[in-house]
Amino acid sequence: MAKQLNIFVENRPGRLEAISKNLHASQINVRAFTIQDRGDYGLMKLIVDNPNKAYLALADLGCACALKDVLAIRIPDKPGNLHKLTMALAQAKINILDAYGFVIQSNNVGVCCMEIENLEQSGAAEIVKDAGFEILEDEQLYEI
Amino acid sequence: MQITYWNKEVETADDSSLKSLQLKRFKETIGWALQTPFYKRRLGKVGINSAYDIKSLDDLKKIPFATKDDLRQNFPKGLLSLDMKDIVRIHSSSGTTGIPTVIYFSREDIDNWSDLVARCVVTTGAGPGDVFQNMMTYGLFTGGLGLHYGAERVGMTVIPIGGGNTKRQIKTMKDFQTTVVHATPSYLLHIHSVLAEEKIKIDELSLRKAYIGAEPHSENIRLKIEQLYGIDAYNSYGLSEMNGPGVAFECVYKCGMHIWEDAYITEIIDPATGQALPDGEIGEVVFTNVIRRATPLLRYRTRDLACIIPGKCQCGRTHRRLSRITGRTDDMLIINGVNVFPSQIEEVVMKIPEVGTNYLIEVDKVGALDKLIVKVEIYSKMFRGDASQLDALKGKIKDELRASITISPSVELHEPGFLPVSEGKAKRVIDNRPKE
Amino acid sequence: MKIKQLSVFLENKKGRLFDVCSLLGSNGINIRALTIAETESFGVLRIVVDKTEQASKLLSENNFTANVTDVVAVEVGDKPGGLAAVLKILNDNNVNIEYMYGFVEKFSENALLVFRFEDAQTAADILVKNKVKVVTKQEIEGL
Repeated sequence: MAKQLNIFVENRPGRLEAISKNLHASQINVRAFTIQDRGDYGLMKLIVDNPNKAYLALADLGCACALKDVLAIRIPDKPGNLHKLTMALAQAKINILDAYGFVIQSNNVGVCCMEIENLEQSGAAEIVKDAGFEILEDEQLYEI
Repeated sequence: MQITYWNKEVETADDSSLKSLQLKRFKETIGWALQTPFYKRRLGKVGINSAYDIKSLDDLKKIPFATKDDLRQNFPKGLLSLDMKDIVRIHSSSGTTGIPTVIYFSREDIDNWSDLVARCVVTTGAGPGDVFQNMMTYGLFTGGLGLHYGAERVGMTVIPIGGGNTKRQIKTMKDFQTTVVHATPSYLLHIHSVLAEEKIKIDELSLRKAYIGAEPHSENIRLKIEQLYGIDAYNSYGLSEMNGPGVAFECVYKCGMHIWEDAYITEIIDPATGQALPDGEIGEVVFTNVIRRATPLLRYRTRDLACIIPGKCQCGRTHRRLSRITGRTDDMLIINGVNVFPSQIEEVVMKIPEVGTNYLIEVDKVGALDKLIVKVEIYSKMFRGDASQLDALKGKIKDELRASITISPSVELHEPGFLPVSEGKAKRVIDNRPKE
Repeated sequence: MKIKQLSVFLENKKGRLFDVCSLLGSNGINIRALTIAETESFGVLRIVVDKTEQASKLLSENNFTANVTDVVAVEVGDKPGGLAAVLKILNDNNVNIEYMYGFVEKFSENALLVFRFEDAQTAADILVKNKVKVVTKQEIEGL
């Protein structure tokens, strides 16, 4: 299962800079990221090429971070595919806690990263595969 | 000015009559105190084993001071002088940590207390025919019930509305043409701002008087209230250890609060040395309650700082006046009239595993009201990555704090290392409220 | 004044710690100090070894994820109060400690304390100025 790094960040300028500096110093590359503003704090979510090492590097400086299992789904970049995916999940009553998507190659492929409630028990991986989508395993995701 | 008295003889008694009454009641109180485990030990140690051992008011000085800690450590029945079957009321307040303090009242104690409050009401020139809206909290807090019983005794029409729900307060003032209110000064200012929002004009109300207390406030605040509402505002002082409201109250001249010296023997002391200070000098206020049998309390250190205003009041009352409370000897905060000790907050947040080692308490003024914000750093190792965990943590902190301090603060979560760290002794409280 | 520390990611599988230690041990690498931090799903092993580069290479060749950081190691007499004295110096100089751990060397009467600071160099300088014995890279390698 692919891993995403979730980091609790203080809501003030400079945190993103400090974190990216730290990761760069440990030769870690960021593949995708998103930040949620939660008012008094923010939640940063990153896909990096070596999540375990990134965790070590950040935890070493007292960052509050955690590794979350995510479903990284390869979506061929054609209209209607996102709907096909979300429909399959909705029909199976899968609860998506958070998601973000990005195109890797225009008109070719996109990736959608999803945090699913109770991922293992939910069977979401099977449902996504049955709907005809490929799930990216760790290495495939990190090497995007 | 028209002066009306509730107990004219007592209120205008000369010095020797007053002292004589105090001595009589002091001796009685010693007799009651010796019925409690706490005072039996404590008085015994200084050679007082019966009321006969009291020869003069000077003997008061032999007795050690009592503190809030004494009440906490002797919870629940260490200071109870009667059987529970004789107790008709219990009031309780939270202590500095989880252990509360309790004051018991017999039927006669309630009667005496109500009479004192009635005296306060009449001292301000209110009486039957007035409609009284009591906006202080009812319940274990003495502010609500204390004024209620006194106001009823005087014969005012009492509306026991309690605190909060500002729109309803305003509607009630309008519907029943309230003439007298009892509230914290900040709440009255807040109501005024809502009146403007609701487009209700002051002349649609019939307000004449306000009794303000439970939180420190300056003369400017009182004058502001008087000016905004077109009323007279009277300062009120009390504490549950001395029953509740009704310990000291302003008369129609509004120049200091008359302490009812037939009920409370008052001393002002140097908080560091315990030595008595003369009238006019600011020190810690110490009371001995001589009209409450069920829970005697002698030489109780209030931790409030104030002075006795020298000189005679024009109203003719001989009971000396207490100045405004100028501060505290401890770190207690007063948030919208509610007492909060920083140590209570610390005790709650430090017990929660997801909370890290640093926290901060901030108090701001938002409009007319106080706002309490508790900021904590999360404990990095406990972070599982979900927003839901953090929301649950915030909720848990809020609930636990509310259970401990009775008010709901705002809670903020911060990244470890990002709350200011003070040099030297940790400065945990930042009070941003303007000192008017 | 700064020395290297390896932090190793330990999957929550039986025997992972043993695997790391035996891998290092069988390759002649000596562990000078060690601590483990655990979360629900995995652990982080932090070690100071005598041959850091070799250890790092070995771990990565054997599919362990490891990260290298700068830390400061301090030697104190192995008696009560040793740690407290060092902490007082750091506190008086407003130096923030991210984490620390200790190790007693059986061949000497001293205890080794490892500190992770936000700014290792500054902290090391302060300790040296206050006559605390800061262990050098050479000493770790040669101990």
